[in-house]
Amino acid sequence: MTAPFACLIACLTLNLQPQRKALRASSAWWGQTLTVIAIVAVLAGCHKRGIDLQGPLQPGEIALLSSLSPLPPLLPDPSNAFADDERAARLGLQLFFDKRLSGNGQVACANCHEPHKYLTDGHALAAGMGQTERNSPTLLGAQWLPFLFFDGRKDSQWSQALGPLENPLEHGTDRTAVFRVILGHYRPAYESIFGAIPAVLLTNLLPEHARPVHLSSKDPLQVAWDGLAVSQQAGINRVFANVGKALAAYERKLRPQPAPLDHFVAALKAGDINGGGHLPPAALRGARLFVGQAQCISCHNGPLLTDKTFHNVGLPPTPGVDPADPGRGRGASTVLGDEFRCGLPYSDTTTCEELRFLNPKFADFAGAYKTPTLRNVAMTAPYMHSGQFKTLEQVLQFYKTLPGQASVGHRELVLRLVDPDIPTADLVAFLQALTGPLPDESWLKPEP
Amino acid sequence: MTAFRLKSRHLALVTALGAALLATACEKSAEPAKPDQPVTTPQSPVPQVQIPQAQLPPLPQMPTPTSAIADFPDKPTVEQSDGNLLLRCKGIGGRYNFELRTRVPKIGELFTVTSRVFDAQGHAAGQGDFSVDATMPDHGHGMMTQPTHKSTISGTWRSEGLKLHMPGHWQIVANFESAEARDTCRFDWQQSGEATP
Repeated sequence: MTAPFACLIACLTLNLQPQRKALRASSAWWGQTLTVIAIVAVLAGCHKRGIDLQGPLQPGEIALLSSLSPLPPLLPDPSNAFADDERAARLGLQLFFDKRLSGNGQVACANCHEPHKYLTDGHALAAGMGQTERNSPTLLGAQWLPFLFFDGRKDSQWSQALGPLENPLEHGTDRTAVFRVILGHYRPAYESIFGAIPAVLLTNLLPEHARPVHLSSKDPLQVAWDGLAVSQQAGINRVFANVGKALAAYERKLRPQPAPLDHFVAALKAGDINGGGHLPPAALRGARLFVGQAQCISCHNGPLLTDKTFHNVGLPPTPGVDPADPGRGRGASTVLGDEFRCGLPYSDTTTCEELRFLNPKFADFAGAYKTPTLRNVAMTAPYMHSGQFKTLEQVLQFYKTLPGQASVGHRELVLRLVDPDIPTADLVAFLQALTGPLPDESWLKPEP
Repeated sequence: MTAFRLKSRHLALVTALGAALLATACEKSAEPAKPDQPVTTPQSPVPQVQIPQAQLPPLPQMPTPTSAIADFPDKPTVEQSDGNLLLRCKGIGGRYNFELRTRVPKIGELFTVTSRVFDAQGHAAGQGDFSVDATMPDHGHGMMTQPTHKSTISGTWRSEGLKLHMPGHWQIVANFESAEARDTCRFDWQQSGEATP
């Protein structure tokens, strides 16, 4: 009984706003306060018990849906002085598809980030020279994220790009071998962007393979690395970092393109209460559920449809994946110790706000993983950090039942069951309306 | 005309508060009973990693409250004006009064708070430890960041690095502890889900 009553009162309150705007200027804050209260009441009161999804959109719904679009212009990346250098992006494009940047000559970035699969690979777990324990996330929209990888162990796109190169399960190469590829195949392009390769590196005495190996002083790669002069190590690190910066400059070109939701919101903001008809009826119902009764927007908010942070939702374990993986619980510490993080010599900025206040011991980081963007989600199955679910229907079924318990840490207390009566098909229809076209074809294949 | 304005405003206030109360009751009735869950606040030390500090934007300015210092409200107040927040309250221990100013937080974005602490006589608090924290009582967790708190002039602190990473009900908690006493203020804040990318 109370919910419809609250809904009615809240809507009446909202309708008072035009009159209140006539009040004297000194009391303007009353309007903001009452509007916020009314929107909360609408959402909490009306949606809790279900509003008429066939009726006109309510002001609170319009406000929340409008918050999901459009994507604003991309801000500069101060950690990468070449982030928006067109020449660096073109070099990055070539590197992205180059399988020579791997230990067996078979693995390129594009293996796990296939352009026509919306920069994913369609597999539950990514595989390069071995099988990893993580699903390949899309790169579309990654340029807005403060932390990369599902556990956030990197704090920039360029430093993220370096991780897979030296991961034995992915590219399985090393920074000295990467330097040799640059020297042998990309030297003119590289030097036109980043300057001359240091003379100290132009010697036949460099080892074929060398890199630091964490906590493995007797590893042959570490031994070879220790045999280099400090100036050579710094020179190779610089080239390696620049490879990451070129790859990041390319990846910044891979932006989500406008989806039906964006056209819908644009029409809403232009005053068309029907959103120009850009959402089919089922998708519109799903949109209202998404921001209302199902409360997906709690974590999937903003134009990227992610809060860009980390949550433990208590996913089921995946065969072949370490059930004790702490996720963000380790990633938050790892990023602080990363040699290519913000503020260190290979970064181009000393402004590192996200790292400065990062609390690596935040209790709820245990077993938490990054909220993925939902843009183009219908094209990026399987889902979750270890590809636990093959379809969107399975994902929604999980949130309707929340089976089992978290294997690490605990499931977030706030996570409540999505009402089983909510039509899954409507939410899926909305998620499908988040699909835009692929970026310009010229960025999806290497130049001849 | 004046009478009409007052009636409209009062009607709007009453209806809105009524709606919020009813909606809250509705919300609670729909939730399963949960065991009491203590609010955990990270107490970990600052990591031993040197991170360069950034140049932060200037702090927001708001009009000075018209009431005298001694007239701090019995219950915490949150005023919003031109994108700024002014939070004022008497400490629950009755020893200190708190005044916090900040921009309206955007979800997932770092923000800074400037705070003033006064003793019961309205004088700026002297030496002591001050902190501002934020927790989500319903979630049982606090912020993912660890803010810094720096005293600028006597009784005034600048807290950097706060971030509200989820929409919903937050409690912003100010603490002050001197050699003589400690006191706390709690402000309720409903964080909007609207985000910037």
